[in-house]
Amino acid sequence: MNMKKAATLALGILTSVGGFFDVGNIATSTQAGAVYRLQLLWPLVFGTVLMIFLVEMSGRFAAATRQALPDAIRTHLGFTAWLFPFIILSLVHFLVLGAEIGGICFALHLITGLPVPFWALPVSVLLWLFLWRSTFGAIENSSSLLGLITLAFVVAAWKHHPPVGQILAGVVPTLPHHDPTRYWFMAVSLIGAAITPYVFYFYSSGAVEDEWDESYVGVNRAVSVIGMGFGSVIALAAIVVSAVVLAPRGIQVDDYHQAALVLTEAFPFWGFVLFAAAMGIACLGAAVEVSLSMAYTTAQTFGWNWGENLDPREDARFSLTYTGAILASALLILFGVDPLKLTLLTMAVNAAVLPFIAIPFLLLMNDRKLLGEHANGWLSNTVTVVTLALALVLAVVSIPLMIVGGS
Amino acid sequence: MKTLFSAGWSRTRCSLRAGGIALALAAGALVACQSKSPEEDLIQQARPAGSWLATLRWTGEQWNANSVPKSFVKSTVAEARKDLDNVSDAAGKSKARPEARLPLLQLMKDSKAAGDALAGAARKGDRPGVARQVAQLAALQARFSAWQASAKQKQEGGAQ
Repeated sequence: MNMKKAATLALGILTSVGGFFDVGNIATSTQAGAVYRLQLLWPLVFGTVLMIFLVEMSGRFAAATRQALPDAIRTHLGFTAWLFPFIILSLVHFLVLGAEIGGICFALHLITGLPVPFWALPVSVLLWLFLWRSTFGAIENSSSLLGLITLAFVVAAWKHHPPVGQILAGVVPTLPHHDPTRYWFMAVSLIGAAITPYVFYFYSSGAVEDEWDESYVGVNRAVSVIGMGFGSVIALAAIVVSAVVLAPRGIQVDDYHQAALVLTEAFPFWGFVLFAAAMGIACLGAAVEVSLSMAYTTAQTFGWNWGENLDPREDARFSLTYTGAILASALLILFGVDPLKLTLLTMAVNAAVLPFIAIPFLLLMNDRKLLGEHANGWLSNTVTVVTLALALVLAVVSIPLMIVGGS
Repeated sequence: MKTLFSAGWSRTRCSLRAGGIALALAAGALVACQSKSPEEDLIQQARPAGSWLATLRWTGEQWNANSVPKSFVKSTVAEARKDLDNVSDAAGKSKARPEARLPLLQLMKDSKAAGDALAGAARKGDRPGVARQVAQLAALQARFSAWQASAKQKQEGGAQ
């Protein structure tokens, strides 16, 4: 494997840290661990398996066709077929970006004590400047390196010596012992946090930016498994730490302030700072990805110039899209929307809309004229369709129950 | 190929629409089946209060151990207050029997006072004061658990 291919593993790390472990995982994992201890590990494992398949497919597609997904869907299925999924994806992008900006603002609130809305505009300006000035490579490397701080959750889980038997039991789906509506809603949110749709759209555009070709198909497989696995282990560790630290004290995560205490037992002095830093960095990485993903999908949908490696003057509409997206999403936080509630709602919506966003992609992945030997096999199709259907059923049943239940 | 895929897409959309309607009906039926007694409702609405009491207690302990800053104690107390106020409002408006809701109202009043005292002691750097409020919050947690058990008992008694 040459140096360039080895370096592409960094793309996997970026998508896992910024995309897999983000504000959604922090919120859903800490909440699930605090309420149901180790019983809700299975949705995360379930979501991770599906995410590995989706990311692998999107990378394989980009490597085989050298086209990003929305571009190809528009070309091969037609603009009308892509329009509805595009609108849903844009709405999800907007909500997720708001949640990520809220996560960064909350991390800064923990460190400074200043109110969360105070940080909305400074954070959005910094985020925009970072995107405006950086190349794709710079974003990839800085996020990957800084994102390693989220390993604090894994170290904390290790230090608490969690019961291995219960962890293994939690990987197998079980019925709830109490509060079934909340249980299923949390399961859906955990799945939604694991399978954020922007990740595989971002990933395919990133692969095109990195000029992947067919020789990258094997590397892509390794990147998908290692990258998503890396993110998943951190999210699983967050559930474990929360189950060991918060649940026995009777603390449930109704607000991020409650989650902020999760590392203080493993790291008595630094735990609080580590939590704030991990949250801020993971959310920053994810916010960069979501902003770019929104700009990529919009530009590819309408056939504009796009590329983070281009000067903003060369792809003005692409740059304008992420600028507008950042500003609009920051307004949610500026006007006082609760970041945790926004995150939980967004994660549940993610799971519910996933089939609408993934189906055009699946249709394309089965086009043998386009992909030849790289088209989907029965395993990829079966796993993806079954898990998408299950996620949809869980979401459609649990979300109305949760809303009616007033929780 | 484009035509073939357009047809596939159209069929998929129809199946999705039919499946969506069936699922929405199932969810609607489940929602309609959910009905609770006022006591049950109150117990559920009061749930965040127990969690916040535990959070405030541990925040005080962590501040005394130099693990969290003063500003965190202040903002955590402010957030807790919002939910404790919501629980008070719910108890005030609840149709549950007075012997279930009045003790909860008093408990919320005492919890808010303990939270404010905790924030005040941390602001002044008063460690013994924070330790006293931690003990007070532990007592309030025990009272809250006792209230939950008694409300459940009354609700079960009422149901019989």
